[in-house]
Amino acid sequence: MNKSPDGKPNKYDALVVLVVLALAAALGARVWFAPKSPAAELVVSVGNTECERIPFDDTEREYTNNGYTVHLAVTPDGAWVDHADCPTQDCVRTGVISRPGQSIVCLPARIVIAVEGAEESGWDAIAG
Amino acid sequence: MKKCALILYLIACLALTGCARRDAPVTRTVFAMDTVMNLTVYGKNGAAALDAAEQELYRLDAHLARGTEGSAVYALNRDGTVIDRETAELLQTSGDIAQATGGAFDPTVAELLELWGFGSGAGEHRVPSQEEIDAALAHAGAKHVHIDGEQVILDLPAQLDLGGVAKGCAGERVEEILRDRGITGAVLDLGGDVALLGSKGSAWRIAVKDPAAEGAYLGVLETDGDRFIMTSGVYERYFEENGVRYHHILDPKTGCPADSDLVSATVICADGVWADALATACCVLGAEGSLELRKTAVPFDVILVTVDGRVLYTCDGFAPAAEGYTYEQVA
Repeated sequence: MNKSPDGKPNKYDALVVLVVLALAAALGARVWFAPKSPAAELVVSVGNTECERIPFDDTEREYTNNGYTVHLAVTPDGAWVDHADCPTQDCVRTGVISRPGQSIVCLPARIVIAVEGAEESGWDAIAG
Repeated sequence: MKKCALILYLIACLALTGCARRDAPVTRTVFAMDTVMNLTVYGKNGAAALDAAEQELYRLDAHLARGTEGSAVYALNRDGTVIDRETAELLQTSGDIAQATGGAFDPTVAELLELWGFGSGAGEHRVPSQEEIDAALAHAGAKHVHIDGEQVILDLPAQLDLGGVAKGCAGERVEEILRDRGITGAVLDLGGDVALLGSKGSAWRIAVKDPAAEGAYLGVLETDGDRFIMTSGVYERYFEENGVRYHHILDPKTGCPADSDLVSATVICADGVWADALATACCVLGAEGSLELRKTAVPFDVILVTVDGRVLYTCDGFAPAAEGYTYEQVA
């Protein structure tokens, strides 16, 4: 390979730059044109088993497990348990959830309703 | 030739950048210790490791719950003695914490919890009379617990409740099990109390709940692994009577709900049992007492929320995020 006698860039240096730029552009395009993540949705688990995924549309659901029934209301803006016959009523008191990472838990019924998808929550767990 | 080699090297670097593939995380939901837990592990054989972790959580739940007939604590509260290495070790640590916190944490408040309706008996919430509280206080105190090797002796009618250390203990035991099975990183959400093991390749990011607003966060804590992040707060379990709110964190000195200036205390510590108990102790001691305790107890950090809307934190990796609070990093 030729070496530039005066230390100035030559055609080989230009080739290196071009290869690197081409690869960078290819990687960038891959990220840019990657399919968007799906919209946020509710993931309902009964016991330890995921039983349903629900989009944030106007709908209602009823789940019965462990002798208790939980009634879930869903709108495009959020979801909440509007009534349940469990003794603690913690699920009802949780209120509206809408953001990834939020959840409603009914311990007596062993039902978990969690928001997943859309954007990453940006954290690994929630303390408190 | 050198330039050719350089080109190949650069291409290889770029091409291999995306090849450092890690095993996908595996998650598991577990209902135990009166809460729902979410366990996420990184590393090979995650599912098998989680099977073992889940079984351990069920075992500890049955072993430490004082309301479960057959548990070590149930036997101790009934008979006044039990021979069990695990219980002895946990009570030894609990005693050390009781001493370090000047009694702000006390594992013998079971009778008081029952009086207020916060016990395992799921009794009705009520405000007990001062006579009832005084009677229960008379046999409370870590001094009523004696440990001799693997034997524990409890001065009846004192009654133990290990709810203040159970999740910390569970976090430690589960981490041990995961480590033994080759798990290199794990985040264990033990119902709002978090245990971090090792690494997932980047720093762990833990959102800290705003105690005043459901779904809002005080900020995000960025930290290395092998940490326990335990929170106690007066906002989760409570009842109201005649317009007064009574919460479940009892001051072992008065036998009544702690009347400090804190709404919640989050403790970050390398030891799970200490972290769990210190979170309760901080709620009893208040902001000033908690910061004082940092000078004498094991090393730990805090994020404290006061009743007047201040957030005092001692850790560098905490990024405030909520509006309506005054944040102050303190020593």
